[in-house]
Amino acid sequence: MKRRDFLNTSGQSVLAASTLSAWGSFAQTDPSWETVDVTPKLIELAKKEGSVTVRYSSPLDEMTVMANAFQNKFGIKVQIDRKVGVVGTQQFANEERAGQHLMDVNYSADPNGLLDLADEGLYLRFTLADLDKKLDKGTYLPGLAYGTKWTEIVISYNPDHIPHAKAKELFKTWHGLLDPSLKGKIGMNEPAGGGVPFATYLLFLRRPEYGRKFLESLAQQKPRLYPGSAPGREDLAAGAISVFIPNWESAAMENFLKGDQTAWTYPEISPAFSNTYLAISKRAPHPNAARLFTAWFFTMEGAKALQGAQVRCTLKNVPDERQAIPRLKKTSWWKPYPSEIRWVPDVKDWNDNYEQLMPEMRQALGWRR
Amino acid sequence: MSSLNPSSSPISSNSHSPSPTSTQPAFKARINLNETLSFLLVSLMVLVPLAALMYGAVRSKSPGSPKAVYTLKNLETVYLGLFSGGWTESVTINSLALAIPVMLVSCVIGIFLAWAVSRTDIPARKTMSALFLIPMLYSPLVGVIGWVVLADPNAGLINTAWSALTSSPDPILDIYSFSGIVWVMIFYFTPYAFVLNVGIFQSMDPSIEEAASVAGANLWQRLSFVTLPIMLGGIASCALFIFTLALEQFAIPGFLGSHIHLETLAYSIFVRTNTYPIDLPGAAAAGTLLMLLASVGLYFYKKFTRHSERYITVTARGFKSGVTRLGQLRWVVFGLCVMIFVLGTLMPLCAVALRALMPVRTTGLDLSGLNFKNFEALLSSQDILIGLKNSVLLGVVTACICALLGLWISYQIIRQKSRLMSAAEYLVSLPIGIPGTVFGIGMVWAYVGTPLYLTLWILLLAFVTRYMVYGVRMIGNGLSQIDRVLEEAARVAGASPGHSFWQVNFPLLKPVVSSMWLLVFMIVMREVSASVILYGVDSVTLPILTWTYLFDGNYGTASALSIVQLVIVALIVALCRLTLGTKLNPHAVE
Repeated sequence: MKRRDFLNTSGQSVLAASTLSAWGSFAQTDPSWETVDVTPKLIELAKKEGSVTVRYSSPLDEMTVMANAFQNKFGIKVQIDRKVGVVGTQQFANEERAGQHLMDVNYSADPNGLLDLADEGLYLRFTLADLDKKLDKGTYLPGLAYGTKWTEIVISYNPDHIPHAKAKELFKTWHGLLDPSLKGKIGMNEPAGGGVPFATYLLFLRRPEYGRKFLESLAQQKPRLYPGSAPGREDLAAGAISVFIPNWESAAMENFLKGDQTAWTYPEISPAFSNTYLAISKRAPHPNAARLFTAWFFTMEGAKALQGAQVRCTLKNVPDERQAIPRLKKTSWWKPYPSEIRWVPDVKDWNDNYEQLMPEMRQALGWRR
Repeated sequence: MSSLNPSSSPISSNSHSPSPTSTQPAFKARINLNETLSFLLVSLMVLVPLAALMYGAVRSKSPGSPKAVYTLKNLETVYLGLFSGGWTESVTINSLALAIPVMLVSCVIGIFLAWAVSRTDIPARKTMSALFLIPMLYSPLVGVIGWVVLADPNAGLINTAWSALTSSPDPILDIYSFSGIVWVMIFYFTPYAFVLNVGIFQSMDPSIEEAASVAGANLWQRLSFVTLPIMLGGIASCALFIFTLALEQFAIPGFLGSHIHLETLAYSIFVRTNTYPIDLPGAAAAGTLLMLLASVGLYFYKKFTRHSERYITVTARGFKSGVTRLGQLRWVVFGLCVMIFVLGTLMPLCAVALRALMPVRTTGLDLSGLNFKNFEALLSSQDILIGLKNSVLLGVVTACICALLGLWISYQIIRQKSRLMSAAEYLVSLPIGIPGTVFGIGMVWAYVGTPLYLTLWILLLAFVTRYMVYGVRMIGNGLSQIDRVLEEAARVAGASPGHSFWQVNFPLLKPVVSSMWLLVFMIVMREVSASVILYGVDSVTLPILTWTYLFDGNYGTASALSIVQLVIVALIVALCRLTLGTKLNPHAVE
């Protein structure tokens, strides 16, 4: 069954696609959109509701930091439900179409799904107060969903298997993964495991120096494929694999703080994008708590709380106070993320070709379904 | 056959009860109303999800999707694909290929252990009996975590030690392999084989073996030509029971197999409900195939148990369970038993405990870094409280409802012996042949548009429907052994039917009811396969949390949770034993 078929409702997806195709020239505001802001009135109403249900695609640690911070601040209980990427979208669509309104906020890594279901009328159309002062264009889907953090893809390795100097040399480019010594020692996230793997494999397919052949060569390295990235990070730390891709820096930092000895390095080009968005269900059972939860993470206080999960916030002018940075500076191997390697995925390409690309990626990597 | 084996009907075995001809007309009318109500209730509970499953299998899109139409495409893909390289071909072969060796080896080990504790003079037999049942207290995921820590080919503690000792780069045990998955499943199902065969040994008159011994047969001759042939029917039914359970088991092959592209049918069904692209019609169609395969096992299983009178070993003449004196050999047998316990239970449990104490994995084993941070993180999260509350609530309420339904329905089956109740009995036992994932899919299709969907109520309904068979069978087993004359005497003395039941039958059934209650409680506390499809944010359970943590890569938290769950269930089992004298040995019903 095709994703588009699943989500399709009376040709609305065509509208979604055309909306996305105009991504760069979106109307940034619309008078019909509700403006959501943290106000005393909203706080009061949200507290009366008492709880908020958040479906999330991020790592559990990140969501736990967010939930605890919000709960400590407002005393509102946060119930969390992990459904990664498109699965969260599909679950939400299933529930809503069956008349079950269970989710308040979707912390989603599936922008296309967000757009599709917004067109079906399942998501609230809203904007944040002072949006231009808060976020850069490209970090949000106007009127719909707002990205909280930058996701910067890295190559993680176990220094007990690959010394730092060798790793730095080997992984100057992604081609280093094809080194014969790494056969059977690479861990990879499967393409549908969220926005991070999809963006990374999209880079391979779209850059001429890599292409499909590179993916097929990676498959020849007999990688261990993971349905999600977290088990891959665990196996990397245990030494079950020597390299894990694609990892992202904030998740790696979070593990580093826990005592994880694995390290990471930056190839010559790597995806960097805002890939996890907060969106509000139009029929949220706790509408005020949902609005407060979403808006608060775009305040200075909320963004700083979010840094507790070692993420680099999209909110402008937030000083980088991530706990891991000073400790990482003391290591011999870490350096700050080099901005010149950024490769921003083309969202139009992503949206238009998702259904064709997903099986292609899976097939190239030998992931059967 | 013991009560753990819920499909074996105890009910036909008792034929000495008089027919209900003496029943007064008013009472008869009430019973008929009861019968009709029982039948309708059971039909509704069992047939609705099954019908919904069939409906889902012929729909083109998920429930509620616009433009969904009727189609045979899903069934075609599933069934024709079996023989033409479709996705069902490899997963079905994998399922059967896993289930067969698991069935065979589990049975061999289970029979050996059962023989050792029931028929030999090895030391500490009672302790051994209790230890072999420990895996029944925890979810299959405990074995998964434990063996990943021990036998990951590159980082498992056993393989690391092996490599250090021998300098061999090759692992001695690879848990991410076909044989590795079989290994974990064998030790998960061995307690079932053990319990079922202990029951057979205990009900077998040892005088037959003694006669063989007097006639000069040595130990091996007695085992080969007397004991095993007598047990053959029971063993075969036990094997088929385990085969069915292995076929539906999805957590162990699902987690370990997903790393090496080895998917089973049960896991593929789950994948279709929970990963991109969600395909509920395809899952429903595949569900019918898995149900069919499980039914084949169940059919032969029923066939064996139907003719269990051929293997009658319980006679009116009482007997004392015989013990074979093994001499020096008893230490060998004892050693083997200990080895099986250490390998199958102790080692993975210790590995889980170790992982629970490790904040993060490291390449080597660094014992100085052990702490309780995973437990602290677990206990400070809200999830654990919600999961604990839900699991205990579901366990207690499901067990209580199953007990009540068991008393109500089995009474009518045993005492009335009507066609309607025979049909109800068949319906009650139907879900035991339906794998949990398949049943879950049926429940989704049936209740997705109702307020039950993604709540505790749907889980409760699913559990009661699946496990009421334990109530009906076990209590029926007990009831069939109570002579009806006692109840009639109470009625002659003026007691109402209800009063006579509660005053005469219930006190005699108490041990059976408490045994059944505990068994259902334990099963619910570790149930994953149906709940993983049916749970919602508010209805998460402890096994689901373990599953989620495991798939999220939080092995430490998953391990800590497994330990907490084990302790909770063990405490409740101990409490039941101390206060009610409840025996975990399901043979208590006989």
